[in-house]
Amino acid sequence: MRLIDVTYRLLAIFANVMLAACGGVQVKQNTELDAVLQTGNYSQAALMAEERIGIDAPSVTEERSPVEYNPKHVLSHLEAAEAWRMHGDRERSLEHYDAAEMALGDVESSVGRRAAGKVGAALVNETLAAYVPSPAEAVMINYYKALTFWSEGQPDLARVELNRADDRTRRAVERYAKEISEAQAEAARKKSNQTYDNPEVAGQINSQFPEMEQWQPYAEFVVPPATYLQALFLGMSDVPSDMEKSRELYERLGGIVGTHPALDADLADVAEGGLCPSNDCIWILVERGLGPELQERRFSYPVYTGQSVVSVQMALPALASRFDPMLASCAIHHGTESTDCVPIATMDRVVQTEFTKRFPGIVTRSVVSAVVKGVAQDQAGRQGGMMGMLIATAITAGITTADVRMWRSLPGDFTMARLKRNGDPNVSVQIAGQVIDIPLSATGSNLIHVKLPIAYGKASITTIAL
Amino acid sequence: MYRILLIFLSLALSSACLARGVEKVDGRVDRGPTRVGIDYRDFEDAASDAVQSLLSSGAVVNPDGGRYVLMISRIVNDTMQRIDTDQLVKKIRIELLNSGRVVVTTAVSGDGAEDRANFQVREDLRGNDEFDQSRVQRRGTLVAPDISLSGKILQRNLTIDRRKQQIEYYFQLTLTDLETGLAVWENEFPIIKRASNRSVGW
Repeated sequence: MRLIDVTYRLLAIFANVMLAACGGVQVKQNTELDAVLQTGNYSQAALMAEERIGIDAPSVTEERSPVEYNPKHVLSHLEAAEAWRMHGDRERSLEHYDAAEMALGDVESSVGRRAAGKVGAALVNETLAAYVPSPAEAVMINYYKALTFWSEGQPDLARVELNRADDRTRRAVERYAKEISEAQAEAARKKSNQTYDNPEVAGQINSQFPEMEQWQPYAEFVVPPATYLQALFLGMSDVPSDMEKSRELYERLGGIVGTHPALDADLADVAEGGLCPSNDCIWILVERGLGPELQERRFSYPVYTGQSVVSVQMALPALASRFDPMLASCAIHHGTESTDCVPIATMDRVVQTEFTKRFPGIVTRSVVSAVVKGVAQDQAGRQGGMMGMLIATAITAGITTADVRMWRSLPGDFTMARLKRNGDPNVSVQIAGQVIDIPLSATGSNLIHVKLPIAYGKASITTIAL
Repeated sequence: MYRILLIFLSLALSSACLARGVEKVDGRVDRGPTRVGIDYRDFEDAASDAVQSLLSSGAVVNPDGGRYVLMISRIVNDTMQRIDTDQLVKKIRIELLNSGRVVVTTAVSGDGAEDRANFQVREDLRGNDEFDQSRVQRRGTLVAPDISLSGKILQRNLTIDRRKQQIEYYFQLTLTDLETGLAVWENEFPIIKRASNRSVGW
């Protein structure tokens, strides 16, 4: 056997083993986290995420090391933050959310360098680039921080977070456009017309994603629960400019959500100059289930190298819904009044909107990568014969993986209900066979936030006296 | 002797190391690079402009002579940054106090008493045998405010083009005559910054 053959084989084995190991670790970590979240042991989930960050966290009761942010652990920071929030340790949750946001800020402040690095990484493997939370995830960070600050009696800080969420929504559109144009610029540098704009490329790729035709993305990027929370927050203010902004936000939501009992009642109030002027309203925001996950979809892609056509393995992320239909049964009871949990948004649609906008950039980067790999395979075949071709194909297939990283504890959907206080000191949420009793504050309006990731699981409840 | 020289040399070296990279900044002449977010110079500029405008408007000149009693109402932080609005208010208070036309009450503010001691000494010490009651504050001695200062700090981020963004901060302040409820002075102090799109506003 020639030396070159041995080298090729060793490289192929090494690449496959390394990448299989990396992918395997990620899958194992996801499975472990999901399993713990399903038990409702949120503190255990938080400790597990902290361990991955490298934080020495023996138990909930023992003294824990301080949270120090590291952009390499943004996802674990996010999982830890949300798990601590659901457990009820808001301080620790905020530390992790702050850490994740700081890391995000670093990444966002160097978009150019990051994008160049991303294309470079895509030539080998998308997952080698540092994880950049998507705009929807970034908005959700500020949404949960705002909820936490508001519930802690710090409305000034909640306002800051809601302003950030609003600005991130605005900047999302710019970020998508930038990602696509940078991927196209990279294709141009490689003298390739293999971009998603090319109908031939789009046709071949789209045929692998038939489900996308059934999607119902929003017309514009929006994370409705964050917009609702900001509209509600500003609507409770007695400052005219806040009320005006609240009305704008409710109207924007109305255009996206359509007819919705709570939303319509709120909009009617703010149009009259004050949200719930009798100060006896109960808003119940229920987050049900788990958001979608990304799964790898592999297929062969033909690359014309100039001399021949070679088949290259391509791996792209595909969206898979995780919503549990058991959770669809949901109602709110207060005294003699009852109402259904009416969705204002599903995370599937939010992510579909985002995915649709980012997909051209992801495809262009992957096709550029596929062309480079195809040329390498072709040359290996010409120089190393059939064996060279086979080994090169094995190597490129082995190092091709899709970036399926994602914040996994995001909810499946968001429902909102509005009721009027009627003397009953409690509100009950009846969901997937369980009844969750929630005490109200003695007087005044209340915002109640309930999150139930799985049917029969443990709900996290936050009550804000308004 | 050799050992003493060595000690001095070590001390000199260590002090040189400590000094490296640290520079004391004179805020009055600081021309160092500014940042996208609000920094101390923005607060100083806004506060200084506000006081100049306030004093020159005549709104704090008491026609009956004497000084007005000012209460600090709410200054809303409507930016994307966690800033302490007291940083702005404190500078305004100091300069107004120095002008001799205004005194500030700490017994009343937009968020309750700024100094709880105003009430603590009355609630806890009045009638307490351990204290000389002739020196405990009597009822009805707190002075009600005449005027109130309220405001808002706004932030607007705008995209100029693919590379540049404009970050606008507006320091909006209002002085209200508490007897009539009328705003007797209002002003807005914009601070505009242009920076790369890569810079984040917080």
